[in-house]
Amino acid sequence: MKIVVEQVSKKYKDKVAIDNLSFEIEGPAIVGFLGHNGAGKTTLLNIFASLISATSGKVLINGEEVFDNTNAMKQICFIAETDNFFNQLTISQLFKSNQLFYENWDQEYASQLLNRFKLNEKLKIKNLSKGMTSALGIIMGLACRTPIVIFDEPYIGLDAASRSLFYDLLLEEYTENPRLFIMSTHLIDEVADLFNEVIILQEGKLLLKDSYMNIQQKLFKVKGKKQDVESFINGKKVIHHSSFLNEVHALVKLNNQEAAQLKTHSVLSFEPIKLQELMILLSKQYREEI
Amino acid sequence: MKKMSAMLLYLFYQLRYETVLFWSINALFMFSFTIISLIYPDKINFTIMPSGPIYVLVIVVGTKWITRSLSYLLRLGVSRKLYALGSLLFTLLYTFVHCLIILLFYGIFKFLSITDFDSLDFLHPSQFIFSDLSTMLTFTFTPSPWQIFITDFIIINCIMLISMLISILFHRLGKLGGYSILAGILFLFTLSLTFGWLSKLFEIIMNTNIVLNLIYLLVFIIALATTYYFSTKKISIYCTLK
Repeated sequence: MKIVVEQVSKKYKDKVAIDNLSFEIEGPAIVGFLGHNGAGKTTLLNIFASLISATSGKVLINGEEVFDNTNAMKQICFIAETDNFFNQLTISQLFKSNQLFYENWDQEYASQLLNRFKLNEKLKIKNLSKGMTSALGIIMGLACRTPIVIFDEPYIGLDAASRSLFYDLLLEEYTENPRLFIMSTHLIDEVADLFNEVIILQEGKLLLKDSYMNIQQKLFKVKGKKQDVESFINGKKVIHHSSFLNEVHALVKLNNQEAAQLKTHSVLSFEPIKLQELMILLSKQYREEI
Repeated sequence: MKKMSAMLLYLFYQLRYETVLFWSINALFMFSFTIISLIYPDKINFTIMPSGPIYVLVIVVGTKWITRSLSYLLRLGVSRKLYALGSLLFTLLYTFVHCLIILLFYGIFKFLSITDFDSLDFLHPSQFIFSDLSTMLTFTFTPSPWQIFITDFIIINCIMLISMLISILFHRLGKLGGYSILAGILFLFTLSLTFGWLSKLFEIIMNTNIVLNLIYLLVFIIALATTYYFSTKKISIYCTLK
């Protein structure tokens, strides 16, 4: 399972939603697709799922261009924030048609998931609450068993308990049937530990693409007195820097040796950066650079 | 093939409820008129056209077609080519079912008219298409079942395809673009009325053999279907001009 993005741009009239992006995603993995509102996440995910075309560039799925390509499209299940299902259908009718749409649709698993989320298959989709509709989208994404599943903000209206259930199920499903799950979310810290890889977009550009482990092992928030911090960060890659009274906070990217050095530092305090904070700081840095 | 069946099943589920509801209301109205006519045969005389409301229904279904099906089906992995072909196939099947139901109603009413029941008149476009000028104006021509079927099949298909094309027009060009083009078409129509082009066309149709006219209509339907097929190429789930 490999998605290759080659110099993809998408323009809406004068607005550039995606700006000459190039990167690769390889599965099986759970990939976090992060960014502020309007960063271009949904646009890019829509291009992945062939729902819209790119203005220029191409997206390849396992070597085949995805746009309107039946072979590539059948490898993807796309669950959007809303409007995933026609609301006149009952859940059982939806599942019946899904058996035909998805080659590997697991009906038994879908029924089990319905029980876990306490949904009745006789219910009409139009009568479901927002949270129940989101749960149905999640069930569809997990039971479709396509090699690539895209969740674009899948849990609107879903309570904390159901979100936690979703994370457990996602992990369970990923372990039993390893696939490529791409998840766009704003509840970053809640889900960060699930990610193998993280992609952060900002104004249509790629801000960061790295494994979650690397981020945790290489990016540190260093705190201490101004002179101590300044002397430590000197010559290192500083992503963000701020000071309050005499205390200085710096986000630095370190190699293994530097990280070990920091861990034994007697004066400075440090902690690995949280993903949400990293995204905010990277965005700030990006804006300042512009 | 599996995806095509899935798409047809999905569209069937999608439209089943409103089609059943529509036919129930339509049948209720027609039978109410029939019963009233039976009770008061000398006082009330009704003229009903069972297929008339269907034409309105297919305009509604057709103009909402893209909004109600495109994004759902593309998300389910249906390619644009399959979407276009599936939509056209579904239109044929949908029209076929409506035509059968219309025919059933005409059958029931014809049975009633055999029993000396004449306070209810039926109007059908086939009375104009298949009759000559003398019987057309006096409404004395009684169309055969196949004439009713074929007329409705062609008319409903034409209306449905034109409505589907309008839905693509609005989807691609947005409200402003869609209404502008419709206004342009309306302007051309007004011009053709003013300069008498339409009456000339009507004259030509009247003087042409019925079978030939039907062939022209079929060609027109094929042209509409082809336009629909090509207009869904590279279509996005969002308005193109957004």
